[in-house]
Amino acid sequence: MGSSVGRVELDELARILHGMYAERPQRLVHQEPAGVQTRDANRALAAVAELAGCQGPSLMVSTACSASAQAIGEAFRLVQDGEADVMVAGGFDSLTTWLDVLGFSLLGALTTEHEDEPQRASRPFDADRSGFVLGEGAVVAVLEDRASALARGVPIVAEIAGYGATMNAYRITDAPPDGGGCTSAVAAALRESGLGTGDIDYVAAHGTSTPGNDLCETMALKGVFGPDAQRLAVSSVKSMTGHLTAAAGGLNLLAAVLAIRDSMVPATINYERPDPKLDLDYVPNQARAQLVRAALVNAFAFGGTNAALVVRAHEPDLAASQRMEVA
Amino acid sequence: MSVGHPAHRSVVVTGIGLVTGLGVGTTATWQRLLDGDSAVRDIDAYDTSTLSSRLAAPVEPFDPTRFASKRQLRTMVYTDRLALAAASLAVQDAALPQPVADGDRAALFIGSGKEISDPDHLRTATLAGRRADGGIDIHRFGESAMSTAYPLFFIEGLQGASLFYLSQAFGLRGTNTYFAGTSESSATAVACGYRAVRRGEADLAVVGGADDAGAWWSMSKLDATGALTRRNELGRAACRPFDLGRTGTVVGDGAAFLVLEDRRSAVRRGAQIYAEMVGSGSSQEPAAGSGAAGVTRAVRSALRHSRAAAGPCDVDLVVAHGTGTALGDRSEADGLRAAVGRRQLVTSVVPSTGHIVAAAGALNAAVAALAVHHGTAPATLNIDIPDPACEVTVVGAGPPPRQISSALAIARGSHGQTVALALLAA
Repeated sequence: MGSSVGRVELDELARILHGMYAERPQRLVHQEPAGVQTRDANRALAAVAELAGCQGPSLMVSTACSASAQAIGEAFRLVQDGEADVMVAGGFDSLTTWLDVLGFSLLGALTTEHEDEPQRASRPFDADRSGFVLGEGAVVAVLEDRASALARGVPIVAEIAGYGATMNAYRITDAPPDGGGCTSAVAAALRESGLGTGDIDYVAAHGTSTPGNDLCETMALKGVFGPDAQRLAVSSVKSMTGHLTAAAGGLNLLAAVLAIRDSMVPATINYERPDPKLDLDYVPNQARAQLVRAALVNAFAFGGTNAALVVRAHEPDLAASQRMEVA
Repeated sequence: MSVGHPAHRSVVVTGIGLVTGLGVGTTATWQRLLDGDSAVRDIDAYDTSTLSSRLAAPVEPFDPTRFASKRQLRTMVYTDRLALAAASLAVQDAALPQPVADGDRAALFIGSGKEISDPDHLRTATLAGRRADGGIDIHRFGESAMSTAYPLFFIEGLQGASLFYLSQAFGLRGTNTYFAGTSESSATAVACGYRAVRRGEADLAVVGGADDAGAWWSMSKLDATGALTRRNELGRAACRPFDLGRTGTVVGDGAAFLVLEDRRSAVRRGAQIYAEMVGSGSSQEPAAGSGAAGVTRAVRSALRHSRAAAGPCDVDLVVAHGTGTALGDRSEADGLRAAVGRRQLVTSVVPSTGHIVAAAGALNAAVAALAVHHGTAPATLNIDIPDPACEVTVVGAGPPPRQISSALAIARGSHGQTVALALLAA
C-alpha cells in the first residue's frame, strides 16, 4: 500500500505544545493513544491484510504523490520474483486536515482560482492552470501471477508489463522543466514491457494542474515517445477527482486498466485554452471511445521520485508463465 | 540480464555506515558493541517528569555540515540528518565516487519512522489559535500561520524527503522507494535493494533506515504503548532481551545504511566485500497470532533463497529483533526454533544501541554483515538468567561463539510484520 502517515490534528498539537511551552511548569504531554493509532498508516495496512488473509510480504510506501504507483510497482516485483502469488496493492490518502492545506498553501501548490466554481479549479494542461485541488480516496488492485489467475479461472482485466522508478535529484518541490527523471521512469517502464512507442495508446497522466508538473510531464512524454507522442491520448482524471496524493497512482492504474477493458478513454475536463507549450492530445472535456491496446500510468512526487507502469491488454494466448495480471 | 531471469546475480555488501548512540561511525559502533558497551542513559534533552520510561540511547551531537549542505539543512529534520550521515559513511566506506559513476543504475531504498515536520515550527501559530477551552480558532490559527509558520514546513515534514537528500548527495537516480513504519521498514528497504541488484535492475543500491525514537515527539507516543521498560533506576541494565527479568525495551536514535553491489562490478572496481546477501523473506501475521508463525515463515523464506544461492548451510548467528519485551522475545524465540528446528544462537544489540525503532532492521543487517566479516558476534548485554521459555542460546550467556560465517538479521514490525535477511561471509 501507498499512503501518507497521518498528520496530527491541530487541537491535539495545540494541547501538546501548550503543555510544553505555555504552562508552568512546562512538561511533556502524551499524544492521545487513539490519535496515534488513527495516524498509523501501518494499522490500515494490517487491517487490509487481515481482511484479505494476506500473510506474505507487506509494504507501506510513503513517497507522497508517487506512493501507490511505487507500492504497485514493488508488488509487481514481488510477484515477478516469486515472493508472492497474489498481492493486494494500491493506496489510500486524505491529506485534507488544516495542516495539510496550510502546508500545500504555503508552498503555493494549491490553486486559489475558481473559488465560486470549484469544479472548474483543477484544469490540467490548460493554459490557465494554477495549482492543484486536494482530493481524497483509495484505490486497490489485485495483482496475480498469470498461472495462478488462470488456475483460479477468474476474469483477467489487464496485464502489468513494466515498471520504472527514478529520482530527479533536482529540486525538492520543483519538477525539472526538461522532463528529468520523469523521462527515465517512463522509458524504463516501456523498455521492460518490450513494447514500442507506437504500441501505447493511452497515458493516465499525473497531470496535477500545476504549471511545472504539466510541462515536465509533457516534455517527458515527448522525450520518450518522439513523434509517436502526437498520437497518444493523454488525460488527467485529477481534473475530476482532485489530487488523491498518495492514492493518485492507484487511481491512474484504474483509469488505464478500465480504458483498456472498455475501449474508452477518460477526459481531461476544464481544458479550455490550450497552452502553446503543451501540444499533445489531452482528450479535452469528453471521454473518447477508442481501442486501447496498452497504456502508461504516471505518478510523480515532491521529493523528486517518479514512477511509471505499463499496462497492456490481456492476451490469452501468451504462454509465459510469470506474467502479471490485474484480476 | 533481463528481469525475472533465473540466473540471478550475486549481491555483496561493500559499505556500511552506522550512526548510533555508540558513535558516529561504523568502527566506533562495532568496537563498542564488541566491548560490551551501552549508550543507554537518562534522557536529558527535555523534561521527562511525565514519562513512565525516561531512558534512551541518544546520538552524541555531531556537526551536520559534515554531511549536508546548508541549503539542505534548511528543510531537514533530525531523522533526515541521521539518514544522510549514515548513508554518507556507507558510501565513503564503499569507496564510491560522489556522485556515483552510473546514477541511473544506482538504487535507493529507505525505511524510517518520520512523521511530521519539526513541531516547534508550528508553535507560534498553534498557540495563537488555541482557545481558552483548548479548542482551535481556525481563523486566528490561519492568520498567524500564514505569517509565522515555517513556509517550508510541508517539505520539512515530507516523509520520504530523505530519498531526495540522499539522491542529490550521491547522484542516485535509479529505482527507489521509501517505507514508513517500524523495524520492518528499513529491513524491507534492504530486501528491496538486494532484489533490485539481484535481478539486474540496479548495479548498486544504497539501503537503510533512520529514526529518532528517543526524541520528545516519539516518546510522547511510545511511552504509553507499554513496550518501554519502566525500570528507569536500572539505567543501562534496564533493557534485558531474552533475560528472565526483562520488563520492556529502551529506545535509541540512529541510522544504519549499507551499500549493496553486484559482485562482479564490486570485484572489478576492487571494492572491499563484507558479506554476500543471499536471501530475504517477509511475512504478515494476523493480529490474533503471537507473531511466532510469522517469524517462522519469514525465516524459512530467507533460508530457501539462501539454499538456492549458496547451497545448504547452518545459520551460525541470528541478529535478533530482541527488544526485551516479555511477549516479543518469547514469540521470536518460538518462531526461530520452529524455523531452524534447534536452539539457535542469537544476539541482540538493543541493550547497547537502544531500539532504534524504524532503523533497527537495517542496523541488524549491518551487524549481521559485520559479524560474518569479522567472524564474531557482539554479546547481548544484561542477560543474567536466560529465560528458559525462550529456547535460544544467547551470545553472552554462555561460552563465546565459534567462527561466525552465516547470519540472519530479523526485524519485526508493530503490526505483525517480520522481515528476515540472510548473509554469508563473502
